[in-house]
Amino acid sequence: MTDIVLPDQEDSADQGFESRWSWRNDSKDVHSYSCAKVNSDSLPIRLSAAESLSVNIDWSMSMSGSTNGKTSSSVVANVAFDMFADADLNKASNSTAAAFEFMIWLGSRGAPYPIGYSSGQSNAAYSLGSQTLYVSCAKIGAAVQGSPLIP
Amino acid sequence: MFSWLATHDIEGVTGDVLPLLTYLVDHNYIDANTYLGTIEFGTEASHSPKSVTFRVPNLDIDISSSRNNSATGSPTFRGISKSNSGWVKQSGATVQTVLEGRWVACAFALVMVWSL
Repeated sequence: MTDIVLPDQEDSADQGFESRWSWRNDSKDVHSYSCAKVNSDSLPIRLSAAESLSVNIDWSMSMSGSTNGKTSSSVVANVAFDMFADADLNKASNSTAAAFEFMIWLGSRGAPYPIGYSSGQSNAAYSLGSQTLYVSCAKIGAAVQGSPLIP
Repeated sequence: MFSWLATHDIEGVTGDVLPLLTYLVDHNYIDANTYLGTIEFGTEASHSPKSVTFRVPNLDIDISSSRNNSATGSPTFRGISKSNSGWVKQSGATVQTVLEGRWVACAFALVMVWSL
């Protein structure tokens, strides 16, 4: 099950949210994606017209009953941006119709792997702030519908 | 499907992630004229025997374009609900209720929250 806790309307400076979830069965599939979706008049945007996509995010993941504020090794989850794109303006805004999906993982628990992790690893690396990210796969044109984390 | 993975958890991040997309353009994976239409941030949940709390106390995503340098996105909070009545945040952003088969598993729980 998954709950999403909405932010306090009185606090305009706080754009955060909170989600509580548990899934006891089938650890190989993604069961839910608790997320915030950007609502902007500037979307869709051609990639060639975009100048920056600035993010400022803090997150944490903890488990009930934990004394150290951490999750146990049995937790399987990630924390990620999920983005969709298409040559067609309308399809780009529809995550089930869009031809391209991009994910940027900021963290994970229990070693889930992205689609294509084992087969399409790239040497690409990029510095995001002081951190380094790697592109793990490049399966062009794959739409994602209920896709498992582990291929 | 293009996935960038952090080499270790990045629990606080401030930066521009657009280069991760333009990298794909520069290396001919995708065309520069492709439209980016959807941006979401959250947690994909697969397994936990106990309740996990995912907190995002701070969330800010801004899109800057060559056509409108002041364009700024405001996050809305998406989940599954049978209702389409939006819940309006102070910023004017609407809490969206998008029905999408992909996340149908969380429908029941969210409806409960919605009714609080």
